[in-house]
Amino acid sequence: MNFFRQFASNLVKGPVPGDAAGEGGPDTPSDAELVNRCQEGDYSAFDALVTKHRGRVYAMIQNMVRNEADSWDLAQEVFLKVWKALPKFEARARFSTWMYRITHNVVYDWMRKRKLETAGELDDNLLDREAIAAGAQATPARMARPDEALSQGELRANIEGALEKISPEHREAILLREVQGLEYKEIADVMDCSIGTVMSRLFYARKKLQSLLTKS
Amino acid sequence: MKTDRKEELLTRWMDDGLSDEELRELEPVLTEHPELHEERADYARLREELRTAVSSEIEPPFPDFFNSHLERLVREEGRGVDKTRRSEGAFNRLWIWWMAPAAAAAVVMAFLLGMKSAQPVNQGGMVDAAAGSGVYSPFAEVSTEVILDRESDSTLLVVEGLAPLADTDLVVGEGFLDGEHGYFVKTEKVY
Repeated sequence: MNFFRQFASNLVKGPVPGDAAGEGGPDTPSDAELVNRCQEGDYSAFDALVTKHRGRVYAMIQNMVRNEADSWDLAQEVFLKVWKALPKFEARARFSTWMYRITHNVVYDWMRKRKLETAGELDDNLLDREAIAAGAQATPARMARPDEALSQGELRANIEGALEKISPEHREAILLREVQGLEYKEIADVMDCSIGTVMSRLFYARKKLQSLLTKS
Repeated sequence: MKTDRKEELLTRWMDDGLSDEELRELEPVLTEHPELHEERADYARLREELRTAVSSEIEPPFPDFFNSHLERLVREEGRGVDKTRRSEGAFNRLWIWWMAPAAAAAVVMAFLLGMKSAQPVNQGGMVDAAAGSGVYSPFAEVSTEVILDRESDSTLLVVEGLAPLADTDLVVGEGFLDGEHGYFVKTEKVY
């Protein structure tokens, strides 16, 4: 029982606060400081980086793959790759952008593997809402009133349904721009494409989303 | 205007990101398609709804275990340990989702059942294994054994197959529950 109580407590507590830019607050070391310490072999600095960014990485993966258990495994894989690649990381890009790039690679590798496993057929598990883990939806930072909860639940279901219907590239562009708040150039770096392609993906993704939500 | 350029300008217009010069460049398109103004207002609302509905941060389940499991992977990586276990996705998931609470349950059950049967109320001193002590474990890979030693007046319960536990994870107390004597294990922070 205590285990579940602690688990529930962790859910209620929610993610560790942190800004997208990775700048630390007065008592929080910045990403750059933590990365420097990691590169000197300080694992506690890496643990702090993981704690600071795991919520964003997990949310990004969860919103892409729509499966809680796979998201957990993939988030572990992302941070393992981050740890292995940290010695080569140069501060030309923001740490968070670089981390999203690794997340992008891990998610697309997983999608390719899933596609091969299903012999190119559409993977129903990716679309079947019944297959989504019970706790897959975002954890609210506060408890909503019942009427708010109903309306937010409907809104979330509609938006998640629409996001599932657009292509992974369009979904990722929307998530990186509108949810994670990245600049166009950063999205291009993460998705390994030109800014023009990012613009095009955002243009069509927005149109498609509007169209789907109008229908629903 | 070329399609690519039009898409770029419209995308940035939706984000309020156009300079005056770019806005002038886009003006003919907006004049030709006045419905774009309504689309832009609609999308501004959709953007707010999107940010409300889709979280930018979600703590992974078992966040502390997330870090400790990752640390184990990193250390295995450093030692060049064969990570075939990690590639066994189904087992890995079972381990994550069921082993942690089940391990805690196994420890509790093992202590309670083992100790209760090994040291009945009012009996005093230790009884030997032949007295019929038994330990329940829900997993075949978790083995349990009760070792009773009269000479040292102690009972040792061995549970093998669980993830390593820190000494601080277990706080053993002794007392009565429903009139029966037993030993208790605090399972907070047991993963």
